[in-house]
Amino acid sequence: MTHINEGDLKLKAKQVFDQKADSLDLKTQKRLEMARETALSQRSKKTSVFDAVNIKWMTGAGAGLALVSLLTFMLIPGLMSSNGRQVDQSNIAFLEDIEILSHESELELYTQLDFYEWLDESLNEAEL
Amino acid sequence: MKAHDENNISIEQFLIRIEKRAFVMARVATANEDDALDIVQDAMIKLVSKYSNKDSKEWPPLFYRILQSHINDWYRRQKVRNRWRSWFSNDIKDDGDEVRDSPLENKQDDKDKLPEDEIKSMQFSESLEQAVTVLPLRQKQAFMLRAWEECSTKETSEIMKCSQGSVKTHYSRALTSLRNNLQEFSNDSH
Repeated sequence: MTHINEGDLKLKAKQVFDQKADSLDLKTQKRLEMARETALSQRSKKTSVFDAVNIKWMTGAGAGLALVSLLTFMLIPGLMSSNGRQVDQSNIAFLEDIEILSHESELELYTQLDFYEWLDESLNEAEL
Repeated sequence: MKAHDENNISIEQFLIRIEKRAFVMARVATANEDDALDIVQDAMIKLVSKYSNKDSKEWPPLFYRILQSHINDWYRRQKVRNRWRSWFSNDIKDDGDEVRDSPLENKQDDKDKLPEDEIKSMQFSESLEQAVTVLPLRQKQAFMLRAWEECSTKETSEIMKCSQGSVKTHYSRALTSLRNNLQEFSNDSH
C-alpha cells in the first residue's frame, strides 16, 4: 500500500490553496474589499476621536486655568484686609475655596469632554 | 502627515495581499463562506485598530495569530451551539469535531468535457480540500500554516499559541489522515 509522500502532499496543497485564493468569485472579492475598508476606517476614526479629545482636553485645561485665574483676581481684593489674622484665615479659606471650585470646574469639564467625544463620534457616523 | 499616509498605505497593501488567503484559510476552517468573511473582517479590524503602529514585518504573524484566535472562538461557539441542538435533535453528531456540509458537495459537475488528466487533477484538488476541511481544528490549523503558508514550526507555535511539540504532533496527524483519505490518488502523477 503506497501513500503520497509528504513533499508531494505539501506541494499539491500549496498549489490547490493558492489556486483557490487566486480564483475567488467577484462577489467574494467585493465583500473582502468592503471588509478591508471597514477595518481601515477604524484607524482613522480612532485617530480623529483622539485628536478631538486632545483638543478638548487642551481647551478644557485652558478654560480651567482661566477660571482659576478669574477667581483669583476676583477674590484677591477680599484678602486686602488690615487685620493680619483675618487675612491668614481668609487666605486658607480662599485657597480651600479655589481648590474646591477648581475641582468642581474640572468635573464639569470632564463631563463636557465626554459630550464632545460623543458628539464627534456622532458627526463621524453621519459623515459615513 | 506623510509618514502617517505611508503607514496607512502600507497596512492597506498588506491587507490587500493577505485577505484572499485569509479567507480561504477561514473557509477551510469553518466550511462556511459567511462565517469566514466575518472572521476575516474581525481579524482585519483588530490588526488595524491595535497593531497598525507595529513594524510591518510583525503584521503577518500577528494577523495569522488574530485570525486563528477568531477561528478558535467561532469553533467554541459552534460546539456550544451544537451541544444545545443535540439535546433536542438527533440530526447533529456530537463526536467532538463537528462536520458541516462542505461547499464542495453542492458544486456543479462540469467535468464531462475535460481531458481525463485534468479531471483527475480536479478530483484530487477537491478531495484534498475536502480532506483538509474535515480534519480536527488543530490539525487543520497546523497543516494550513505549515504546508500552505510555509511557516516554520516555531512561527506556527506562536500563531497557534501552543508548544512546538504540539505543532509537530498536530501536523504529523494531519499528514497521516490526509494520506489515508487520498490513498486512491497515490499511484497517480499530478
